[in-house]
Amino acid sequence: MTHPIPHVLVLGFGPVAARLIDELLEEVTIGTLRLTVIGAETEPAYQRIRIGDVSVGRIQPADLAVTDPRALREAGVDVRTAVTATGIDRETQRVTLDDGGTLSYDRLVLATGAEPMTPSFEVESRRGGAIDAELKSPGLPEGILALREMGDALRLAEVVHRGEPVIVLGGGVLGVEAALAIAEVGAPVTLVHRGNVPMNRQIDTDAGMLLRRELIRAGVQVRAAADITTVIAESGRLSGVRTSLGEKLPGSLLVTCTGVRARDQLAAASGLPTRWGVLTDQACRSVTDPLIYAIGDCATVDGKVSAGLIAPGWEHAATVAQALRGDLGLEQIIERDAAGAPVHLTAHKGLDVILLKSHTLNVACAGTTDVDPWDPDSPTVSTWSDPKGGQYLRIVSDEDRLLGFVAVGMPRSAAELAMHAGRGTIPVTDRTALLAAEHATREAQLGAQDVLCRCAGTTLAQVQDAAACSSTVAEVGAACRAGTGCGTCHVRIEKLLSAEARQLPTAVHA
Amino acid sequence: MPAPQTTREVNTHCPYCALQCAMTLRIPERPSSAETEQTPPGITVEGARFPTNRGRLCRKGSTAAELLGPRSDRLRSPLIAETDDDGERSFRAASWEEALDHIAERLRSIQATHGPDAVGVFGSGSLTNEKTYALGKFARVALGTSQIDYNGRFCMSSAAKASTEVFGLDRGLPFPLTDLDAACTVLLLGSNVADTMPPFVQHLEGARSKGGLIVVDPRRSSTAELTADGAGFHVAPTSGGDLVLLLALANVLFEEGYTDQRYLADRVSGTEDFRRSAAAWWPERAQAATGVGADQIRLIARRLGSAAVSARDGGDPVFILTGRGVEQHRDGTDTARAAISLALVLGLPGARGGYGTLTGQGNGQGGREMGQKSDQLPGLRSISSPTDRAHIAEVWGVAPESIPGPGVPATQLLHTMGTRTDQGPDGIRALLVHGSNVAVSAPDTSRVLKNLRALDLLVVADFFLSETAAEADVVLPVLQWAEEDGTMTSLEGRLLRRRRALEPPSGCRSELWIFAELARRLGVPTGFSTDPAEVFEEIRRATAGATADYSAMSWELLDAGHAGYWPHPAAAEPAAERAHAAGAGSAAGAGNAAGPERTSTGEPIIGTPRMFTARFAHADGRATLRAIRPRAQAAPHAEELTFTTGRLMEHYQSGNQTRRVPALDAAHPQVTVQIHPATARQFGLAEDGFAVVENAQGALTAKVVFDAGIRADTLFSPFHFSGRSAANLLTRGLTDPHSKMPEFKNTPVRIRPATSTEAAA
Repeated sequence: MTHPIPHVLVLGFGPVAARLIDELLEEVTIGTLRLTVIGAETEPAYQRIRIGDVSVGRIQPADLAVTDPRALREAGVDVRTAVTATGIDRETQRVTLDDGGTLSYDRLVLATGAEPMTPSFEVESRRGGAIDAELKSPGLPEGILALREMGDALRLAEVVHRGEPVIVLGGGVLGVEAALAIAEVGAPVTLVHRGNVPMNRQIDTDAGMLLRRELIRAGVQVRAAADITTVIAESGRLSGVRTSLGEKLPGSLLVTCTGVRARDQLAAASGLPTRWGVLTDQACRSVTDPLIYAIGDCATVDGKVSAGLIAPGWEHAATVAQALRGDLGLEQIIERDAAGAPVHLTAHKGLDVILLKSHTLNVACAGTTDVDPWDPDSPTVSTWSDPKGGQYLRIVSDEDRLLGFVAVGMPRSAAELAMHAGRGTIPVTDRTALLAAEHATREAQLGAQDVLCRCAGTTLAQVQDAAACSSTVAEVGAACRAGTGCGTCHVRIEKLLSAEARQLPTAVHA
Repeated sequence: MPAPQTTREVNTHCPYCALQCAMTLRIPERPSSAETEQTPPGITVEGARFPTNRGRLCRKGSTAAELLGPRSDRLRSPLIAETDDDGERSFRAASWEEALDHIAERLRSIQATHGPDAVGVFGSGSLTNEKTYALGKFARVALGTSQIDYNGRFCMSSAAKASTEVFGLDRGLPFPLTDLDAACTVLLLGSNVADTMPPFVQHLEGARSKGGLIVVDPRRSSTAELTADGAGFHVAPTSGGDLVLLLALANVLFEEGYTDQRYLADRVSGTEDFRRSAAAWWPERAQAATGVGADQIRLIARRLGSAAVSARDGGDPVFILTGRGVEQHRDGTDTARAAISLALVLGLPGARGGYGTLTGQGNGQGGREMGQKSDQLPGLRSISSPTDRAHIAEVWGVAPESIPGPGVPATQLLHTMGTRTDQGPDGIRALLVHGSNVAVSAPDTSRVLKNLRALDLLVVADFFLSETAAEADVVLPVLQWAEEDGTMTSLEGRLLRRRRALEPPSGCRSELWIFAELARRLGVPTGFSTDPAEVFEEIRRATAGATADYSAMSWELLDAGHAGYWPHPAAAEPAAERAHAAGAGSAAGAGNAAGPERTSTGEPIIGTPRMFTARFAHADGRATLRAIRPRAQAAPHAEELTFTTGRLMEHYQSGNQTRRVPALDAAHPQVTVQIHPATARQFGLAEDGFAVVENAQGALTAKVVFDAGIRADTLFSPFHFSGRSAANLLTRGLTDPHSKMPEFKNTPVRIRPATSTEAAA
C-alpha cells in the first residue's frame, strides 16, 4: 500500500509564492508532491517591487513575470488565478474559495502579501468648476490609487504618458521612487509628505535634507510636513487636492504611498495568532498550528515584522521549502563536501537593505543612522557630507557590527555598504578607503570642448547644441552623430536631454 | 681548438600554458662524447611566428629551455621509497624492471583484496593527447578501474559543463583566437591574462583602442590595469558576486531592449526561463550581492548592448570570455552558463563574436577530450552512453560491458582516498599520478597529504621530484616536453605538434612505454603502443563520429603546415581533404578556387575554425537556455575576509618547473598575500612583514604586499608554493554540484601578524 501523495496548498501567487513553488517543483514533477496555488489577481506572479518602472512606461508588464503558469501546469502544479480564499477550516484542514470550491491540505502556506492602507480624505465635489452643492456625501473620485498592483501601474502609465500632473502622497521609499520615476520621464509631479524630510524613518535628517534637494533638482515638487486633507473631484474625476498647509495642487492622479498592512485577516479569522502579520517561528511555521506556514509580507517571522522587502520573503520561501521536505518525508537536499561531510553554510543575519530604484538618484540605507555623533555613548559614526556635490554618507557601527548606513549620491559606497549590511560584515575601519573607491571610479567633469562621444569625436558643446532641439538619444545621434558608435555615451546624452528639458545647468560627468 | 659549432633548429610549442606559443629551439650540436653532466646544454629558445603569440614569449616561455638537458635535480632513475628502522623515509634508485615489477605486483594484490576500483589514476592537462588517451585506456582496460580523473577537474570542468549544456559541446574558444583582434568590446571575467598568458594581450588591442575592454576582477590586476586611460572599464565585484553581476547585466539588456529577438527566436530555446530568472536581479538589488554599483551595472550593460546592436548592423564583433576567477566557485557552472547566456541574448555566438573560456593548462583542451575524465571516453564521448561505449570498445578490442562506468571526480577521489567514509564507497587504496602535483594544487592540501600517506601504494611519474612525488612509494622518471613527440590541443581547439628536439637523459621513459610495460605485467599484452604516432592513429579512429572528431587530422598534415581545428571528420570534406593530405600547398586542384581559409600567419586551415555558425550542437540545433538561480554563498563573518588565489607572471601551476628556473624564482621567491593598505592597518600588518592567514582548514604564513587596487575585503595569494606556503592549505573541498569543480576563489579567512617564530619558519 502506497502512501497518499501529500498536498501543499499555497494561498497567494506573488513572487514569494513563486519562489516556493520553484523550490518544490522537482517534487511535483516526479510525483512525490501535489501543489496547488491560489492567486487573487488575474496575472500570475510578477515582481511587484518593480511596478514603478511599469508605471512610467520604462518596462513592460511582461518584463516582470517571475513564473510561467503554463510551464507550472505542465509540471503538474494546480495553478488557479483570479480566485480568492474566503475561509480556513483548520479542524478539517480545508480552505473555501470564492468560486464556491473547497480544497483540503496537508500543509497550508499563506503567502497573501500585504495591502495598501488608504488614508481618508474630505471630498470637494465640483461640476463645471463650481462647488457641486447638490451632491451629498460624495464618494471618492476616480483617480486615486495605491501603487500596489499591475492595474495601478498601467493606469498611472497612461496619465504620465499624457503628461498630466500627478500627486504622490507619502515620503517613504515607495513614494520617493514613484515621484522620481515620474519626474525622470518628464511628467509633472508633486510629492507630499508628512515628515520634515522624505524617508525620515529610514535616514537621518542631513541625508533627508540632501534627498529633498536632489528630488527638487530631479524635477519633483516637494511639499514637506504636509498632508492631503481634501481631494477635489471634478465631475467625479480627480482634478486636484488641498494640503494641510492650505495649498491647492492640481493633479489628475493621486498616488497614495502611505504604507501597507499584512493581509492576515483570513488567518486571524481562523484563530491563528497575528500581530502585524501571522505570527510564526523561525521556520515560518505558525506558532500555534504546525500545519500552517506564513511567508513574505503577511508573516511576522520570529517577531520580525515585514518591512515590505522582497529578499527576506524569498528567504522565507527557501526556509519553508526545506521545512516542508522534512514534514512530508521528501528528499532532503544536503550539500556534501568532497570527503562526504555535510556542508553547513552559516547564513549570517545582516540588516535589511533599502535600495532606492531610480535611474538618476542613488540612495541606499539600512539600519539606524539617526544617531548623535557627539554623544559619548553613541556607537562609532563616520559622516561625509558634500551637499553641493550631491553627496552624503553616514556609517554607524560598533566594534564588530554595522548598525546602519545611508549613502546619497555615492553609488560605489552604496554598493559596498549594501553588501556589508546584507552579509552582516563591516567595511574597512578606515572609511576614507571607501571614499577613495568612490573617487577612483568617479567620472571626470567634462569641459565644453572635451569629446563626449569617442566614436564620433563629438564634443560636449556639439551634443548640447543638438540636445537643445532633440528629445531622444537617436535624434541627438541623427543631428551630430554622437552615440551612434559604441553607445557608451548614451547615459551622458540622456542626462543632457533631461537637463535640457528642465532648463537646468548642465553638469555632465564623463 | 673546438670544432665550429653547428646549431639545430626545432619548431615546437611552449611547455606551459594553453596559448601554446610557437617557439624555435636552437640546439648546439656537439660530438656525443663531449656531453657530460656538467655541460650546460646551451639551448636557446625564441618566439616563432604564430597566430596566438606573434613571435612573442613571456618570461616563463623564454626561460623554458633552462630546465632541459642534464640537471642535478632531474629524475633519471626509478626511485623506490624505503623506511629505515628509525622510521626515516628515503628513496633508493631502482631499475625499471624492479620498479615496474614491484608496482604491478602491488596493484594486483590491492585489486585482489579490495576490487578493481581500489586503484585510482590521476592525469593532467599537461600531458599530450597521445599520453592522455593512453592513460584513460590503461585505466579502463589494463586496470579495469572506473577511478580515473585529472587536474583539469580543478580548472576547466565548470566551463566545460556549461558549454556542453548550453551549446551542446565544449571547445574552449569556438573561434580562432585572432578573431578577438577585430572586437569592439570584450568582456573578460576572472582572467588575468596579462600575467598568466601575456602574449594574449595583443589580441585585446582592438577592443582597447575602441575603449571596449571590460575586466571583471576583485583585484586591479595587470589585466584590469589595461582598461586605464579610456581603454575600457574595470569592475571589482566581491568574490562570489560574479553570477549575480551577470544576471543583472542580462536583466538590463532585456529591459532596455538590447537583446537580439530574431536570433533568440531562430537559434535559442528557453529564453523566457532565463529572462525570468534574470529579472530577479535588477541593478539596485544586485548591488548588495556584488558590491558593484547599479550605475556601473547599467553602464556596462549598455556598452555591451550597444556594441552588440552595432555588430548586428555590420559593426565589429563582441566577445565574452571567462577564466578561473569566476569559474572556480561552488556556482562555477552556473556562472559560466550565465556568461554564455549573456552572449546568446546579445546574439553573438556563431554570428558576431561569441563566448569563450580561456583554457589554462598546455593541453587543457585535449586533456578534457581524450578520456581521462571520470565520466568520459575519448572524443568527448560519454562513458554512460551505450553508443559511445560500443564505439570505443570496438577500437580497444574489448567487450563494451568490460569498460567500467563513471568514477568519482578528482576532489572527491583525493579527499576520500585511503579513508573509509559513511557516505558512499571506501576511498581508493592505490593511486598512479601522471603530470600532476596534487599535494600543492588540490584544495585542502593538509587533507590531501594525509590521505596520500594513508594509501597502500602511491606511484608518481614526473621529471622532477615534485611535492607529490616526494610522498610516493615509487617514482618513475619520465620525459619533458622537448624530449617527446605528440600533439596538444590549444585553447582555440587547434591541434598542434609537440616535437622531440633532444635525446632524453638515459634512464627516463615515456609514459606510453610505462603503460605498455605495466599492462603486459597485468596480463594485457597488446593494445598499448609505445609510438605516439601510432597512438594518434588510434585517436583518429576512437574520435571518428564523436563531438571532438579528429579523424581527418594527421601528424603529416600538421607537419606540412596545416592549422587543424576540431571537429575534422573524415567524411566531411573529402576532395579538399585529399588535396591537403597530398601535401599540396594550394587546394586549387580540389576545385576550390579560393583555396582554404588561412590563419593570420598563413597556414591553410583544416577542420572547423569557427563553430555554431549554422547550428548549435544539440540535436535540434538550438542553444539551450535555462533559469539560473544563485544559491546561498559562503559569506565571511564580521571578523573575516575573503581569500582568493591565482597565478603570478613568473610561475606556472604548482611551480614544480618554474620554481627551478633561477630568474623566475628570484622574481617571486616566496608566497605573498596581497592586501589593501587600509585593511592591513586595521589588522596591524606592515608592508613586507609576515602575516598568518588562517581558517578551519589550516594556516598560511605569507609575506605582506600592499595593493591599493584590491578590494578591501579580499586577500590574494598565488598558489605556486608548497608546504607551509601553499595557498591551498586554506581552500576547502566544496565543489560545484554540476561539474564537481572545487571552490578555490572564495574562502572566508582571518588574518593576523605572524609571530617572530612563525615569520622565521
